[in-house]
Amino acid sequence: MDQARPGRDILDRALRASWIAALALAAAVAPGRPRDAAAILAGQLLAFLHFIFLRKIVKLFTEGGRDPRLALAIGAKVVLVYGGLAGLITLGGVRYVPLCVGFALPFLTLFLKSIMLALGAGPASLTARRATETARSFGNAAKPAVFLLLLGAAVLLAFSALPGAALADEAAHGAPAAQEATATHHAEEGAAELPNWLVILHDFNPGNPVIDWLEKNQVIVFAWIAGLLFLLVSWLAMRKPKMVPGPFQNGVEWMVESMEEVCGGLLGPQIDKHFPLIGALFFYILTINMLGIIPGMKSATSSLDLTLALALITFLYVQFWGIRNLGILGYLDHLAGSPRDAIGWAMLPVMLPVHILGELAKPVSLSCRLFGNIFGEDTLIVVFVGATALLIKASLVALAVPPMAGITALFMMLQTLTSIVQALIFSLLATVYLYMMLPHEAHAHEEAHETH
Amino acid sequence: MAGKTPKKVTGWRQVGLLTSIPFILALAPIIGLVIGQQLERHFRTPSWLTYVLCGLGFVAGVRETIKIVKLSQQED
Repeated sequence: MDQARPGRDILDRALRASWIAALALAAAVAPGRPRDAAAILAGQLLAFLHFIFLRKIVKLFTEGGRDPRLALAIGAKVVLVYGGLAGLITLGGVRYVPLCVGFALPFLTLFLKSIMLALGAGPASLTARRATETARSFGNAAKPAVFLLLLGAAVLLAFSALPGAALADEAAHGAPAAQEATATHHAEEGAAELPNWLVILHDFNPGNPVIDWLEKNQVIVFAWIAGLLFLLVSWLAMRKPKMVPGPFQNGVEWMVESMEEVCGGLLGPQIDKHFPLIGALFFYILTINMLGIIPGMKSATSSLDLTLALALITFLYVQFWGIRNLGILGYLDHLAGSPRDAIGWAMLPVMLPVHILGELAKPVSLSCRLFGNIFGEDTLIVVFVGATALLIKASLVALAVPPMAGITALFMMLQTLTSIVQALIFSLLATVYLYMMLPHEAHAHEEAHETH
Repeated sequence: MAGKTPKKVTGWRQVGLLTSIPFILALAPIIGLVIGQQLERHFRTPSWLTYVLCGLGFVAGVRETIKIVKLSQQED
């Protein structure tokens, strides 16, 4: 049985992984942009030094005493890391984006490593230590299968990226004006995501009004597809419910009941009233996020429009239940910070806008977080799939497929994990916001305590 | 159903709550700023309204953060 490993080990492994990622990224970028490759490596080196010094400083600080080495370590960190960053930007003429990418890599790998450990995907994870031998052997057999599946999907994605590149090439060599316009359109978009089937359809049928409309409103189209998929799965599972359910009904029931249990832990008996929305939010966001993993599809949550709409629904729902439970006067009293004395009333002009701004910040933070995470995942996949596609196009298949597709498959695995985590966090936070609005004994006690 | 919650799930709730702090801290003053600018444009008032609402947004962000930290430490 594995023992819990100290945080030092996790940091070491994350730093090692970040060096591998940085070297792979720099190698992919180096042929076209050698300065950017150097900037990525410089950023990685500075972030690496940052962590090394930080670990030393924390160690010296926690050991206590006024060790002169503490001041030395802090001084060295400031000079080398911050001075190095400032020097590179001002004197070296390094571009910000590759430098930031390099600098962010150790942070990203550390973050992903933590998620993997928390979810039980690592050898030192909490769940691996608790797992039974049977479950572990099943897990060990399933992991390579999932990895191979994702590897296949990654290679498929790399090939799906090729028609776009080929079209751009043709346009550059004097192809018809329509194709040139399409290539320019892609260049303007900045290739922040892989071409989905609607974009490919649009590339091959320029000028078709229906396809034009679908391509322009692809976020809505993919949100509908996810909604229909969600409805289809729900309908198939509950079409003929049985007392002794089959595997499909059992699986869906297990997912719904688990989610209900999670939210019920916070809302208590009131969960029955609110679970239809919270559960729908979770499964809908999960379906949308997972759609992005399928080659040729797109995660509609990588658009701020959709995440803002979902957060707005949550916000309106929470406010509606706030008014319904507290009444109009109670709701206004809640917004005003429940003033009960002269000071409270005197502070009303300040507290009212503070409360309103606080309420508004919640949905915006919900939407920005979901959008940022999914968009970031998509962009990461694009970077690696793009590099693979370029290498395949340059007939460097042997170099492209094993390492680059492997890295892409790893990122897709992480995308699967973060898709679930983001859907869970969105719905859990919606539950928490609802809990904060509903009358609740502990909450009321807390508010009364705050007032006094 | 509404009984015990696994520890890991409580952990995820904490992760969700605590990771929303930077968003709330950053977004609340921005929302105040945007609302202030819109109100100024609408009522043609001098620029103090933007600064006041931006400051109140910052206060709201800090206040929400304190609430979130308290909530994240609360047992189910």
